[in-house]
Amino acid sequence: MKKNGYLLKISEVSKAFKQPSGEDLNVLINASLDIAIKNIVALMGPNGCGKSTLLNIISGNIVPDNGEIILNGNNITVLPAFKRAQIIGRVHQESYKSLASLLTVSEILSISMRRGKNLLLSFASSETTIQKIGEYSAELAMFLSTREDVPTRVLSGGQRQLLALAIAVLGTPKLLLLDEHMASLDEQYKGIADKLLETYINKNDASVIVVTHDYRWATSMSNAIATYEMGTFKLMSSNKSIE
Amino acid sequence: MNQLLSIFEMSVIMSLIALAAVFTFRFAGFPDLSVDGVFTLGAVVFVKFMLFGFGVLFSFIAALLAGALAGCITAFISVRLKINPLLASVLILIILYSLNLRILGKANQPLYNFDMIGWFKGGYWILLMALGIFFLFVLVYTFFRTQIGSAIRTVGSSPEFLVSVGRNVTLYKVFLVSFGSGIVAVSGSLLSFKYGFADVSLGMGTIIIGIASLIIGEKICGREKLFNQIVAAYIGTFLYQLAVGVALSAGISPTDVKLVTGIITIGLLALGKDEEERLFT
Repeated sequence: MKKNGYLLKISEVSKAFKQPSGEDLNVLINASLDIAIKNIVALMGPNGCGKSTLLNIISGNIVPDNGEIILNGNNITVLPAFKRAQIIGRVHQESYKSLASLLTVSEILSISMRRGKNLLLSFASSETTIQKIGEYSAELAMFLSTREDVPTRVLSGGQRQLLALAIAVLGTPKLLLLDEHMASLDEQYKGIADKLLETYINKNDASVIVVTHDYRWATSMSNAIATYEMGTFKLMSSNKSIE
Repeated sequence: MNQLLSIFEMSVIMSLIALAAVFTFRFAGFPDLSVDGVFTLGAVVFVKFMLFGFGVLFSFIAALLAGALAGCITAFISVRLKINPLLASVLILIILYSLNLRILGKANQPLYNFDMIGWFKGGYWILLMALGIFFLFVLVYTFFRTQIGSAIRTVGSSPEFLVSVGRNVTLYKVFLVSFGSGIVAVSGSLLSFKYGFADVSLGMGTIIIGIASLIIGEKICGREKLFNQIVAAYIGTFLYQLAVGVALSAGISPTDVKLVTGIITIGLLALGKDEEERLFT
């Protein structure tokens, strides 16, 4: 990481999916993308172009046909998804995938806090977890502390997305992969999410890749925009200066 | 009174099957159909160890470990070799048919030279079993409320969440199916202890008893909360055994009990309109 100044280097990654007709659909063709430290990169492109596929390849949920992924100086191309999750936080496009419907907010936070460590044989407590969130966003900590005993399945769509974002930053991962994490958020919650992201990456030298269709958000919040072009993503800096 | 006691005794033994179904079907999302074979495995291992002179407690432990090993293999071949859980467990079930016969050496083996009468005097046996089952309930309920237990019990319903926070879902599935199979084997060993023999067809139809009991329990207790989900296994088993007892008193032939149970289970599964209630999807 320190040698090349990049947190994540994706080199010539390709992925094809078999279609029902039997033909290959080439989603990514030798896609390369470098993400610098403390950067928010917006991944943009038409529906079905391979944005989520790229996130899935980075997180280890999809194995690329070829190419290489270097994260934090380590080649993680063949590392299982659950091991990568020790340094990658993720918000899925479908919020149910980011949460556990059977658990309460408190239980889910306490498990997520142990990212990269063994789970404990003690009852779930979210006190320290909420304190940790409070370091990034007091509003989010307040939101969570008033819902500790609520089962996650009864939360609204926006509340679930906000909780999923809180989970993604717990255990201080170096890289956050957010797939349309604001799709269900109202203006107030969007403000909380944006503040959380900015504080988080500045405090932890982390980087964020965000899949979004919101061009205004991308130009105001991200340091760079990666747009889809012929099977790969082309990176260009946005209006916001890179720190 | 005697009949009620007998229903209670069978409920205590068979509640372990319904509890195992909670671990596999509900927590792990792993429909384990090897139960019939594992139940018999517990019985044959128990009787064999008793005949070797290892004593009651040690023989129960041997049955538990044999069952856990069978469950471990079932889960492992399913997860690692990517074989559908239904098929993987049926394959283990078939293997166990042969294996159980090989362990026992013959189709039926009585427990010779053991003073069973002493054990059953004054109902201590039932009391002891009931205490054991209660202890298991407390243990299971407490464990699945801890941080690690909470994570393990969501592996079937929310595997993506667990992976995204760095948890090894394969390990959790193997643990749950092993634990479930272990207690199924203990159930088999308890029944062979009660009967005083092991038979290679002792476990036939136990999976249906487990599923039917669990569905009945869940209809009454619900399953949204952990407490209700576990209690459902016990209450469902008692009501199932009660229904069987009543059916037998009413004149149904014991050989027809499985036929009736099968039909009732089909009815209960068909009634489960809620998608989540379906056990095999």
